[in-house]
Amino acid sequence: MSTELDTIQTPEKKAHAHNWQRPLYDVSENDDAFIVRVSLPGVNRDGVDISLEEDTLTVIGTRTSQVPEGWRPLRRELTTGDFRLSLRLNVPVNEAKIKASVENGVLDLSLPKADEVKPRKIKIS
Amino acid sequence: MKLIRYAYPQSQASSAFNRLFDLGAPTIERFGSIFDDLLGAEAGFHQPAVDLYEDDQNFYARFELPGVNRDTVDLELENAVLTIRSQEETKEKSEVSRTSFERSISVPDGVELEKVSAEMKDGILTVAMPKAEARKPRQISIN
Repeated sequence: MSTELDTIQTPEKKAHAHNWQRPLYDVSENDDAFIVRVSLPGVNRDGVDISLEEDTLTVIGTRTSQVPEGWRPLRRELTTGDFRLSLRLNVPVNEAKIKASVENGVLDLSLPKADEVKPRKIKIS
Repeated sequence: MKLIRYAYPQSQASSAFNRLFDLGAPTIERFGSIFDDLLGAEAGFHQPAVDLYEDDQNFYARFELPGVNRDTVDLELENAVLTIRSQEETKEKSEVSRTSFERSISVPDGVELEKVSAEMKDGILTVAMPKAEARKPRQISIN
């Protein structure tokens, strides 16, 4: 009986293995770079994983501050899943110079524009 | 008659970026962002989400406050109502942006007011509210 139950439950567990949510984010732009701010509450710098594959930028935030064992919930509004955000970049960026910092649960990403898309000043001679 | 689910309008800026960058992944956003969308993000008004927990010694409130500077946060506990307030001004070049929020939640009675403590880490504020002696579970021995 117990083995039968096991076989039924196992695939379901696998399907729910990871609970992702898309974080809130902002994108802004200045002359030199695109600035992406991603809200990752409960994630410190060790929990952030950033990758750029072709034109897809993926940010994964794994929660580093968990609710301690033994706390019984009285009311829950917060989501508990880890964060995953994929952004497709439609402009070339200078991959080598991407900078990232994490502070107070917010990831600041600076994606420098590739030279060919920077605005060019034209001098009048 | 048909019932059609009302889709909250998004601010122009965010929908533009969704068009640019969206991969069609489902969005799970905090309830607070609905207010941003209704009032316009310029209103800078949202309510932080909160979890309430307890263990044998304490009640705990956990607020998600990503990007909020701890110095701008005011906490107040009065008559079993915990109020959190924040107002922040950031100046960037010639632009000044203000962010403010306020949220009040009711917490159970019987908190030792003098011993309430709060800690901010990675954008999560945890308020620990110790239970008064009378509220703690007690082992009763049978003679």
